[in-house]
Amino acid sequence: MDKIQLFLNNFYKMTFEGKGSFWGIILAVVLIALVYVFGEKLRDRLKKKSVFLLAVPVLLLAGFALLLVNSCKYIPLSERAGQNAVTYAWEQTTKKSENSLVYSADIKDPATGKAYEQSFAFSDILGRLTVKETSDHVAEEFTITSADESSTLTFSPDGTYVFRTADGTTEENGRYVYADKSLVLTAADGTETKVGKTSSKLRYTTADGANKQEFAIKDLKEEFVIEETAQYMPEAFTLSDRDERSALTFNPNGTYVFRAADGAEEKGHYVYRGNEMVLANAEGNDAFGKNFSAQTFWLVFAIVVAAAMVLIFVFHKQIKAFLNKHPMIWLLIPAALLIYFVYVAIGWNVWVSVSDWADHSQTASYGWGGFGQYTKMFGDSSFWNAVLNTLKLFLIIPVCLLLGIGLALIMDQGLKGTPVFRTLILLPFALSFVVTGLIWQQMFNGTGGILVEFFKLIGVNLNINWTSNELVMYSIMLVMIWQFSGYVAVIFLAAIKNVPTNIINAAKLDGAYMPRIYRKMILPQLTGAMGSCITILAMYALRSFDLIYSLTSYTNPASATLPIMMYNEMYAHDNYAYAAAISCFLLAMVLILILPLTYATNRRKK
Amino acid sequence: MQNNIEIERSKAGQAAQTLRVKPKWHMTALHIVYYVVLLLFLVFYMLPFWGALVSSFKSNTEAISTSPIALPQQFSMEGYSGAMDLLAVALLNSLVVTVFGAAGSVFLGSICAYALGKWKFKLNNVFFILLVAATYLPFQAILIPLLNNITNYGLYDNIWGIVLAHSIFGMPMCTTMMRGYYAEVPDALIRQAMIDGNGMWQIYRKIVVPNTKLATITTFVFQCTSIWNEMLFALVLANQGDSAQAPLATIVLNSFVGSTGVEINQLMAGSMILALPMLIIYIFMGKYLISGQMSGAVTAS
Repeated sequence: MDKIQLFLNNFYKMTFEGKGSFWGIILAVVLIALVYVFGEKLRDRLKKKSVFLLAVPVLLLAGFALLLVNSCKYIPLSERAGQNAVTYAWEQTTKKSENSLVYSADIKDPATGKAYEQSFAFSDILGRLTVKETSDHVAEEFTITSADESSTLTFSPDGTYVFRTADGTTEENGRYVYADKSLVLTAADGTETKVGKTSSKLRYTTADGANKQEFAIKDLKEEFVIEETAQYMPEAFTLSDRDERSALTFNPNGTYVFRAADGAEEKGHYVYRGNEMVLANAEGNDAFGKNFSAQTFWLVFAIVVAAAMVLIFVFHKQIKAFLNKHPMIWLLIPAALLIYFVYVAIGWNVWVSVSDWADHSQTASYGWGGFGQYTKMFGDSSFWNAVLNTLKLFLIIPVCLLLGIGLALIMDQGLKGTPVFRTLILLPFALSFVVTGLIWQQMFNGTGGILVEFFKLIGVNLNINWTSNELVMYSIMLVMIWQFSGYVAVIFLAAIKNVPTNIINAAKLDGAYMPRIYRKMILPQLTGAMGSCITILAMYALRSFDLIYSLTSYTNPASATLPIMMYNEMYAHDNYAYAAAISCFLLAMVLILILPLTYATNRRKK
Repeated sequence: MQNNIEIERSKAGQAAQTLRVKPKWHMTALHIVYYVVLLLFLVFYMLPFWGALVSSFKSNTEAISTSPIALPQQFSMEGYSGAMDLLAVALLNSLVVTVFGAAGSVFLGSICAYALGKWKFKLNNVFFILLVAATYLPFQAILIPLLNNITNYGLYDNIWGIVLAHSIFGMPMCTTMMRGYYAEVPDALIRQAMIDGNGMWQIYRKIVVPNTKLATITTFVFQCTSIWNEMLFALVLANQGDSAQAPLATIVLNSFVGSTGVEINQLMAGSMILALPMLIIYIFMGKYLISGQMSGAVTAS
């Protein structure tokens, strides 16, 4: 029940507490449509002098305006204590979870005299604060405090931790180390606590069991997370940059102090609003100028919508006549969606690949950057490895076709139980690639895996390391064959059954023997189905992402295909321009390999 | 549905085919060979299912200690309850995304299919080629712009963002599928309705949609299966891990692997839970889905 509650809460939040732009537009469309559909009736009513009906659109519009004004989250200055001086800006970067606070005032590095930027990574501040660290130990001493401040866990740069618990005991001399994607805490007495990648909670229970505390630590190699849900920080909290020259301290009373590297100090107020944190310094500048522009936008938008409603209301007849004359106008909606989200997006992607979007950066930049990414790509051996892996996957096509035709021919013999068999061999195709990947991980498992145990059953001692670098691509191909060959067989069976029986019977009357009938009459009819199968399989080979992602890992270069490599560059390394270049190459491969195929099947059918 | 490729031959046709060939001894021998081959392939196709199913009903200790293909000594629902606990929210999210995403793409696709299949207009062919070409699009080629767009709409980590993406990128496939079905609505019916004074969209509402209910349902179910099983959009357009607001079932299930708290029986049970709706759909509607997809592919090319 509480799960459903959680889902409903999230659902409500996602649906109604978003930025409003999406729902604003939807609401606008609905309103305009309502006016269009019911406008005529409304006019008739109005002619009968029942003016009060006019209140309906007015009320709707008022509600709409209210929603819009509400949705832009404008915070009155009186609530913000300070005013003016825009020194902070939230950078809405491509990955939303990586909101960072960039400080770019005219600070000079005291050592070199160069101006520089500082950034503090926050993510969704109401929920949590994140400090990014990428070293093997923490860069500076770092303390996690539970919300009630009764216990602390301090990590030191030398690899030790100190845990002060709520009941006053102190656990010292423990060591921590980041292992692969998890944090291992070894206490002085040798007990180990492992904080896994997704099991993020480090639980501590006092001896009498009375005091339970949770620290949320998530994927420590990447980040520390401190969960906070209060409107203000429950305790003073300081964020320092890596070199510790500047610090931003939040106090529980709603004020903050920022000490820049050059010694300048700035005081102000902060407040959480929704998923945003608003900082306003003492001089009174609004740190969130864009809230105002958002509000202006929405007001203009509301006025435009209102004007459109009035226009539709007044010129209802003419508009209707126009639409009747040009009924295809509605097609503009899907056409616009298609063109914008597919074709403009492809162009955009191509532009990203030649833009000056910096490596290891999530901040989009769309200046001209030259073809450097492509030269890098063509000189990259891991890229060619990925291309080779992608092409290797094409080997599944002949195997699947052969298996498919063979099984289809056998299934056509009118054997008992064929329908059951057909249903069963189609089942792998119904699975999600994730499920396939997970199940086949168990199949390939070296010790106690399903395959090993099965072959043991029939007396063969199987000793194959399926996921070794040499074999992993072939293992993936085996899985794909498992998933698709039954599907191909069913398609072929359908095509065989589609050959008219009376032709076959006529041939039989002429004395033809069944194998001859198959060779001369039925197999030639399968070219159409074969063409479709080849296209579908080739698409699966080129798009192979989900399966490899869940079966192996997207970071394993041995099993990297182009989609995997693109994802890896995009997510693990933040090389967006490079990722775009790879995906452009993938698109070119699709064009070169698939289009002639479709053209060929098409021509054969005519 | 004329275009529907019949998988079963009619009884009479089957009889006509088998009647002629007299069962000789070598035919019987051949049949035995066939059965053996089918059996071997059945083992190949069913072994992973068997392993997963059996493991999912074992208790954790038994799943680790015994062979993964041996029957459980004691049936235990431990794995299922554990997996449900971890997956419940994600399954509900997936359900919402699936239903709304499929509805959106079927709606858009049906409009396009109707206009393209039944009417001639300027740029008819251009639009159709653009749509068909989009069915071959590798989504990686539009991933960065899509992420940018969705973030700009404020729909990142929001199921509605994923619904939007699925609605748009499912549209080409739906169009090609439904265009095949709409071809079977007789033109005479449409002409008659035009004579009666109906406009283009009135015909769509009154004649085409009511006459192709089954086709619409088939397309909808097909779209549901692909959205439910999909992973890339769910991975890219939403946060992952604990902070995720809109975790989808595929992603959560996949995250089981690296995590220390999840046991093997829960992993297999989770896989089975995720697979079950799709298996049921494919057992009962498999041939309709495939023939729909194929007729789409046929009209597409």
